[in-house]
Amino acid sequence: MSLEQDFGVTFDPFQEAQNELVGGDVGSYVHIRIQQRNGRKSLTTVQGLTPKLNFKRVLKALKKSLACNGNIVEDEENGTVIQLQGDQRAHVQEFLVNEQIVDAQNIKVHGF
Amino acid sequence: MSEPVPELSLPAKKKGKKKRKTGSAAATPAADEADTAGNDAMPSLGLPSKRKKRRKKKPSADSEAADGADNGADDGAAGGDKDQGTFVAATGEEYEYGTLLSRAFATMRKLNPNIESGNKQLQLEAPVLMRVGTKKTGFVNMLSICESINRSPQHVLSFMLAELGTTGTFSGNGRLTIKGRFQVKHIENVLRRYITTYVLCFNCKSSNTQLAKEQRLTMIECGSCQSRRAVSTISSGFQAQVGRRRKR
Repeated sequence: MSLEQDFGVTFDPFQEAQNELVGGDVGSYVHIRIQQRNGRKSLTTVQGLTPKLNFKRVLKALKKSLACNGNIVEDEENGTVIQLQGDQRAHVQEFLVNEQIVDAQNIKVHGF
Repeated sequence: MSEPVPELSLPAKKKGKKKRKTGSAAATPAADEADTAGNDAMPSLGLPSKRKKRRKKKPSADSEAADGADNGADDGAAGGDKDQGTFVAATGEEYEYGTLLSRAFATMRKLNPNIESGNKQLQLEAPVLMRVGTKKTGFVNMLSICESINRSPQHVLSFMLAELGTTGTFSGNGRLTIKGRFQVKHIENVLRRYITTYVLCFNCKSSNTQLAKEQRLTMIECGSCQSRRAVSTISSGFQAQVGRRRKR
Protein backbone atom coordinates (compact mmCIF):
# COMPACT_ATOMS: atom_id res chain seq x y z
CA MET A 1 0.00 0.00 0.00
CA SER A 2 1.46 3.29 -0.98
CA LEU A 3 1.47 6.45 1.10
CA GLU A 4 -1.05 8.08 -1.13
CA GLN A 5 -3.59 5.45 -0.40
CA ASP A 6 -2.91 5.66 3.31
CA PHE A 7 -3.59 9.35 3.70
CA GLY A 8 -5.68 10.02 0.66
CA VAL A 9 -3.34 12.75 -0.57
CA THR A 10 -5.30 14.45 -3.25
CA PHE A 11 -3.62 17.78 -3.70
CA ASP A 12 -0.32 18.51 -5.36
CA PRO A 13 1.89 20.78 -3.24
CA PHE A 14 3.63 22.08 -6.32
CA GLN A 15 0.48 22.92 -8.17
CA GLU A 16 0.67 26.53 -7.12
CA ALA A 17 4.05 26.95 -8.72
CA GLN A 18 2.81 25.48 -11.97
CA ASN A 19 -0.20 27.64 -12.58
CA GLU A 20 1.59 30.78 -11.48
CA LEU A 21 0.29 33.87 -13.15
CA VAL A 22 2.39 35.90 -15.50
CA GLY A 23 2.59 38.90 -13.22
CA GLY A 24 4.10 39.32 -9.77
CA ASP A 25 5.97 36.44 -8.21
CA VAL A 26 4.33 34.44 -5.48
CA GLY A 27 4.27 36.40 -2.25
CA SER A 28 5.37 39.68 -3.79
CA TYR A 29 2.87 42.43 -4.07
CA VAL A 30 2.02 44.80 -6.85
CA HIS A 31 1.55 48.25 -5.37
CA ILE A 32 -0.81 50.72 -6.95
CA ARG A 33 -0.26 54.19 -5.59
CA ILE A 34 -1.56 57.65 -6.19
CA GLN A 35 0.22 60.97 -6.00
CA GLN A 36 -1.40 64.34 -5.92
CA ARG A 37 -0.38 66.90 -8.45
CA ASN A 38 -1.43 70.46 -8.86
CA GLY A 39 -5.11 71.18 -8.67
CA ARG A 40 -7.31 68.14 -8.86
CA LYS A 41 -4.89 66.21 -10.98
CA SER A 42 -3.14 63.11 -9.86
CA LEU A 43 -0.81 60.36 -10.96
CA THR A 44 -1.13 56.61 -10.58
CA THR A 45 1.95 54.43 -10.28
CA VAL A 46 2.05 50.66 -10.60
CA GLN A 47 5.07 49.13 -8.96
CA GLY A 48 6.17 45.55 -8.51
CA LEU A 49 5.16 43.99 -11.82
CA THR A 50 7.43 41.18 -12.83
CA PRO A 51 10.28 42.07 -15.22
CA LYS A 52 9.19 39.16 -17.42
CA LEU A 53 6.32 41.29 -18.59
CA ASN A 54 6.42 43.14 -21.88
CA PHE A 55 5.87 46.54 -20.32
CA LYS A 56 5.44 48.36 -23.60
CA ARG A 57 2.55 46.20 -24.60
CA VAL A 58 0.94 46.31 -21.18
CA LEU A 59 1.21 50.07 -21.12
CA LYS A 60 -0.27 50.34 -24.57
CA ALA A 61 -3.25 48.25 -23.56
CA LEU A 62 -3.64 50.19 -20.33
CA LYS A 63 -3.55 53.53 -22.09
CA LYS A 64 -6.09 52.36 -24.60
CA SER A 65 -8.55 50.89 -22.14
CA LEU A 66 -8.26 53.64 -19.54
CA ALA A 67 -8.11 56.46 -22.07
CA CYS A 68 -5.21 58.19 -20.45
CA ASN A 69 -1.56 58.78 -21.10
CA GLY A 70 1.20 57.05 -19.27
CA ASN A 71 4.81 56.05 -19.41
CA ILE A 72 7.36 53.59 -18.13
CA VAL A 73 9.92 54.63 -15.56
CA GLU A 74 12.99 52.60 -14.75
CA ASP A 75 13.79 52.99 -11.09
CA GLU A 76 16.93 51.70 -9.44
CA GLU A 77 15.25 50.51 -6.30
CA ASN A 78 11.77 49.68 -7.44
CA GLY A 79 12.36 48.25 -10.88
CA THR A 80 10.14 49.17 -13.76
CA VAL A 81 7.22 51.32 -12.81
CA ILE A 82 4.20 52.21 -14.92
CA GLN A 83 2.92 55.74 -14.52
CA LEU A 84 -0.55 56.73 -15.60
CA GLN A 85 -2.26 60.07 -15.61
CA GLY A 86 -5.19 60.56 -13.31
CA ASP A 87 -6.58 58.52 -10.48
CA GLN A 88 -6.73 55.11 -12.17
CA ARG A 89 -6.28 52.93 -9.13
CA ALA A 90 -9.53 51.03 -9.36
CA HIS A 91 -9.29 50.75 -13.12
CA VAL A 92 -5.74 49.45 -13.09
CA GLN A 93 -6.58 46.89 -10.46
CA GLU A 94 -9.52 45.66 -12.48
CA PHE A 95 -7.40 45.56 -15.62
CA LEU A 96 -4.60 43.57 -14.04
CA VAL A 97 -7.00 41.05 -12.60
CA ASN A 98 -9.10 40.71 -15.72
CA GLU A 99 -6.07 40.22 -17.95
CA GLN A 100 -4.76 37.68 -15.43
CA ILE A 101 -1.49 39.49 -15.10
CA VAL A 102 -1.69 39.57 -11.32
CA ASP A 103 -3.76 37.67 -8.82
CA ALA A 104 -6.27 39.86 -7.01
CA GLN A 105 -4.83 39.02 -3.60
CA ASN A 106 -1.36 40.15 -4.65
CA ILE A 107 -2.46 43.68 -5.45
CA LYS A 108 -2.18 46.38 -2.83
CA VAL A 109 -3.89 49.65 -3.50
CA HIS A 110 -2.50 52.57 -1.54
CA GLY A 111 -3.55 56.12 -1.06
CA PHE A 112 -6.64 57.64 0.42
CA MET B 1 -57.30 10.11 -1.13
CA SER B 2 -60.43 11.81 -2.35
CA GLU B 3 -61.52 12.50 1.21
CA PRO B 4 -58.90 15.05 2.25
CA VAL B 5 -59.21 17.18 -0.85
CA PRO B 6 -62.25 19.25 0.14
CA GLU B 7 -60.66 19.95 3.52
CA LEU B 8 -57.52 21.23 1.91
CA SER B 9 -59.23 24.38 0.75
CA LEU B 10 -60.27 25.32 4.26
CA PRO B 11 -58.20 28.18 5.61
CA ALA B 12 -58.48 27.70 9.37
CA LYS B 13 -55.46 26.27 11.24
CA LYS B 14 -57.51 23.92 13.34
CA LYS B 15 -58.86 22.39 10.17
CA GLY B 16 -55.31 21.85 9.02
CA LYS B 17 -54.67 19.79 12.10
CA LYS B 18 -57.69 17.68 11.57
CA LYS B 19 -56.89 17.21 7.94
CA ARG B 20 -53.46 15.95 8.83
CA LYS B 21 -55.02 13.44 11.14
CA THR B 22 -57.26 12.10 8.46
CA GLY B 23 -54.40 12.17 6.00
CA SER B 24 -52.16 10.07 8.20
CA ALA B 25 -54.99 7.75 8.92
CA ALA B 26 -55.51 7.34 5.21
CA ALA B 27 -51.82 6.96 4.51
CA THR B 28 -50.97 4.38 7.15
CA PRO B 29 -53.01 1.54 5.74
CA ALA B 30 -51.54 2.16 2.29
CA ALA B 31 -47.91 2.03 3.40
CA ASP B 32 -46.69 1.53 6.94
CA GLU B 33 -44.46 4.51 7.74
CA ALA B 34 -44.22 4.37 11.54
CA ASP B 35 -43.38 7.69 13.29
CA THR B 36 -42.97 9.86 10.25
CA ALA B 37 -46.26 8.89 8.77
CA GLY B 38 -47.78 12.28 9.49
CA ASN B 39 -44.95 14.20 7.85
CA ASP B 40 -44.58 11.93 4.89
CA ALA B 41 -48.23 11.87 4.18
CA MET B 42 -48.25 15.61 3.57
CA PRO B 43 -46.36 15.65 0.32
CA SER B 44 -48.50 12.87 -1.00
CA LEU B 45 -51.50 15.00 -0.28
CA GLY B 46 -50.11 17.62 -2.58
CA LEU B 47 -49.95 20.36 0.06
CA PRO B 48 -48.09 23.52 -0.89
CA SER B 49 -44.65 23.57 0.69
CA LYS B 50 -45.35 26.88 2.42
CA ARG B 51 -47.93 25.21 4.54
CA LYS B 52 -45.52 22.57 5.65
CA LYS B 53 -42.89 25.05 6.77
CA ARG B 54 -45.33 27.00 8.82
CA ARG B 55 -46.39 23.93 10.65
CA LYS B 56 -42.82 23.12 11.64
CA LYS B 57 -42.33 26.56 13.11
CA LYS B 58 -45.54 26.52 15.05
CA PRO B 59 -44.98 26.21 18.78
CA SER B 60 -45.29 22.70 19.99
CA ALA B 61 -47.75 23.67 22.70
CA ASP B 62 -50.33 24.35 20.06
CA SER B 63 -49.87 21.06 18.32
CA GLU B 64 -49.74 19.32 21.65
CA ALA B 65 -53.10 20.75 22.60
CA ALA B 66 -54.55 19.77 19.29
CA ASP B 67 -53.06 16.30 19.52
CA GLY B 68 -54.27 15.93 23.05
CA ALA B 69 -57.80 16.34 21.84
CA ASP B 70 -57.35 13.66 19.26
CA ASN B 71 -56.11 10.16 19.95
CA GLY B 72 -54.90 6.93 18.45
CA ALA B 73 -53.54 7.37 14.97
CA ASP B 74 -52.40 10.94 15.60
CA ASP B 75 -49.76 10.00 18.19
CA GLY B 76 -47.32 8.95 15.54
CA ALA B 77 -47.56 12.30 13.82
CA ALA B 78 -47.00 14.16 17.08
CA GLY B 79 -43.78 12.20 17.61
CA GLY B 80 -42.60 13.30 14.20
CA ASP B 81 -43.25 16.91 15.08
CA LYS B 82 -41.27 16.66 18.27
CA ASP B 83 -38.21 15.50 16.40
CA GLN B 84 -38.17 18.74 14.47
CA GLY B 85 -37.64 21.23 17.27
CA THR B 86 -38.42 20.14 20.79
CA PHE B 87 -36.71 18.17 23.50
CA VAL B 88 -38.59 16.16 26.05
CA ALA B 89 -36.89 16.05 29.42
CA ALA B 90 -37.03 13.05 31.69
CA THR B 91 -39.59 14.88 33.81
CA GLY B 92 -41.86 15.08 30.85
CA GLU B 93 -41.45 18.81 30.28
CA GLU B 94 -40.92 19.99 26.77
CA TYR B 95 -38.37 22.56 25.64
CA GLU B 96 -38.13 24.19 22.28
CA TYR B 97 -34.81 24.39 20.49
CA GLY B 98 -34.80 28.20 20.47
CA THR B 99 -35.35 28.55 24.19
CA LEU B 100 -32.71 25.94 24.95
CA LEU B 101 -30.19 27.67 22.72
CA SER B 102 -30.72 31.08 24.28
CA ARG B 103 -30.56 29.49 27.71
CA ALA B 104 -27.24 27.84 26.88
CA PHE B 105 -25.80 31.16 25.72
CA ALA B 106 -27.10 32.98 28.78
CA THR B 107 -25.47 30.40 31.06
CA MET B 108 -22.23 30.63 29.12
CA ARG B 109 -22.15 34.41 29.46
CA LYS B 110 -22.97 34.23 33.15
CA LEU B 111 -20.23 31.75 33.97
CA ASN B 112 -17.52 33.31 31.79
CA PRO B 113 -18.17 37.02 31.62
CA ASN B 114 -14.90 37.72 29.81
CA ILE B 115 -15.59 35.34 26.95
CA GLU B 116 -17.07 38.02 24.76
CA SER B 117 -15.79 41.21 26.26
CA GLY B 118 -12.50 40.59 24.43
CA ASN B 119 -13.86 41.43 21.00
CA LYS B 120 -15.41 44.75 21.75
CA GLN B 121 -14.90 47.16 18.93
CA LEU B 122 -12.30 49.83 18.83
CA GLN B 123 -14.00 53.19 18.73
CA LEU B 124 -12.16 56.09 17.21
CA GLU B 125 -13.05 59.72 17.13
CA ALA B 126 -13.44 61.15 13.67
CA PRO B 127 -10.36 62.96 12.36
CA VAL B 128 -10.70 66.72 12.37
CA LEU B 129 -9.13 68.41 9.37
CA MET B 130 -8.63 72.01 8.45
CA ARG B 131 -7.15 73.64 5.43
CA VAL B 132 -3.83 75.42 5.90
CA GLY B 133 -3.56 77.87 3.07
CA THR B 134 -4.72 76.29 -0.17
CA LYS B 135 -2.31 73.39 -0.59
CA LYS B 136 -1.87 72.01 2.90
CA THR B 137 -4.16 70.17 5.24
CA GLY B 138 -3.98 70.33 9.01
CA PHE B 139 -4.82 67.23 11.00
CA VAL B 140 -5.90 68.61 14.34
CA ASN B 141 -6.62 65.65 16.58
CA MET B 142 -3.90 63.36 15.35
CA LEU B 143 -2.21 63.09 18.74
CA SER B 144 -5.34 62.08 20.59
CA ILE B 145 -6.11 59.46 17.93
CA CYS B 146 -2.60 58.06 18.28
CA GLU B 147 -3.09 57.94 22.00
CA SER B 148 -6.35 56.07 21.73
CA ILE B 149 -4.81 53.40 19.49
CA ASN B 150 -1.69 53.34 21.64
CA ARG B 151 0.84 54.01 18.88
CA SER B 152 3.58 56.56 18.59
CA PRO B 153 2.65 59.56 16.45
CA GLN B 154 5.88 59.18 14.49
CA HIS B 155 4.92 55.70 13.37
CA VAL B 156 1.43 56.72 12.37
CA LEU B 157 2.81 59.77 10.62
CA SER B 158 5.31 57.80 8.56
CA PHE B 159 2.60 55.37 7.55
CA MET B 160 0.21 58.12 6.55
CA LEU B 161 2.80 59.98 4.54
CA ALA B 162 3.84 56.82 2.74
CA GLU B 163 0.25 55.95 1.95
CA LEU B 164 -0.71 59.41 0.82
CA GLY B 165 2.53 59.88 -1.08
CA THR B 166 3.19 63.32 0.36
CA THR B 167 5.25 65.05 2.98
CA GLY B 168 4.22 66.54 6.26
CA THR B 169 5.41 67.67 9.65
CA PHE B 170 4.18 68.20 13.14
CA SER B 171 3.63 71.86 13.58
CA GLY B 172 3.33 73.36 17.04
CA ASN B 173 0.32 72.76 19.27
CA GLY B 174 0.29 69.08 18.37
CA ARG B 175 -1.12 69.53 14.92
CA LEU B 176 0.00 67.67 11.85
CA THR B 177 0.35 69.49 8.57
CA ILE B 178 0.24 67.41 5.41
CA LYS B 179 0.99 68.71 1.99
CA GLY B 180 -1.90 68.25 -0.38
CA ARG B 181 -5.62 68.57 -0.14
CA PHE B 182 -7.33 65.79 1.76
CA GLN B 183 -10.80 65.15 3.02
CA VAL B 184 -11.93 63.50 6.20
CA LYS B 185 -12.93 60.32 4.39
CA HIS B 186 -9.45 60.04 2.87
CA ILE B 187 -7.76 60.28 6.23
CA GLU B 188 -10.31 57.94 7.74
CA ASN B 189 -9.51 55.34 5.11
CA VAL B 190 -5.80 55.60 5.75
CA LEU B 191 -6.27 55.35 9.49
CA ARG B 192 -8.47 52.33 9.06
CA ARG B 193 -5.81 50.65 6.99
CA TYR B 194 -3.20 51.51 9.59
CA ILE B 195 -5.30 49.96 12.30
CA THR B 196 -5.92 46.75 10.41
CA THR B 197 -2.24 46.28 9.64
CA TYR B 198 -0.52 47.64 12.72
CA VAL B 199 -2.99 47.66 15.59
CA LEU B 200 -5.47 44.80 15.44
CA CYS B 201 -4.18 41.40 16.43
CA PHE B 202 -4.33 39.20 13.35
CA ASN B 203 -5.48 36.30 15.50
CA CYS B 204 -8.08 37.54 17.92
CA LYS B 205 -8.76 40.98 16.40
CA SER B 206 -8.26 42.70 19.71
CA SER B 207 -6.72 46.14 19.80
CA ASN B 208 -4.78 45.40 22.96
CA THR B 209 -1.44 45.15 21.17
CA GLN B 210 2.07 46.51 21.28
CA LEU B 211 4.65 47.12 18.60
CA ALA B 212 8.13 45.91 19.41
CA LYS B 213 11.36 45.99 17.46
CA GLU B 214 13.27 42.77 17.32
CA GLN B 215 16.34 42.24 15.19
CA ARG B 216 15.26 44.88 12.71
CA LEU B 217 11.82 43.34 12.50
CA THR B 218 8.75 45.05 13.83
CA MET B 219 6.63 42.63 15.75
CA ILE B 220 3.06 43.11 16.86
CA GLU B 221 2.39 41.51 20.21
CA CYS B 222 -1.12 40.85 21.38
CA GLY B 223 -1.87 41.49 25.02
CA SER B 224 -4.97 39.30 24.98
CA CYS B 225 -3.84 36.14 23.24
CA GLN B 226 -0.05 36.55 23.54
CA SER B 227 0.47 35.94 19.87
CA ARG B 228 3.34 37.60 18.03
CA ARG B 229 3.66 38.41 14.41
CA ALA B 230 6.01 40.34 12.22
CA VAL B 231 4.48 43.25 10.37
CA SER B 232 5.80 44.79 7.22
CA THR B 233 7.92 47.88 7.48
CA ILE B 234 6.58 51.12 6.15
CA SER B 235 8.00 52.03 2.78
CA SER B 236 6.73 54.70 0.52
CA GLY B 237 7.90 52.86 -2.59
CA PHE B 238 8.32 54.59 -5.87
CA GLN B 239 7.79 58.31 -5.82
CA ALA B 240 7.23 59.91 -9.16
CA GLN B 241 8.56 63.32 -9.99
CA VAL B 242 5.76 65.73 -9.29
CA GLY B 243 6.10 69.44 -9.62
CA ARG B 244 9.10 71.41 -10.66
CA ARG B 245 12.38 69.68 -11.27
CA ARG B 246 15.37 70.83 -9.36
CA LYS B 247 18.04 72.65 -11.37
CA ARG B 248 21.32 70.85 -11.57
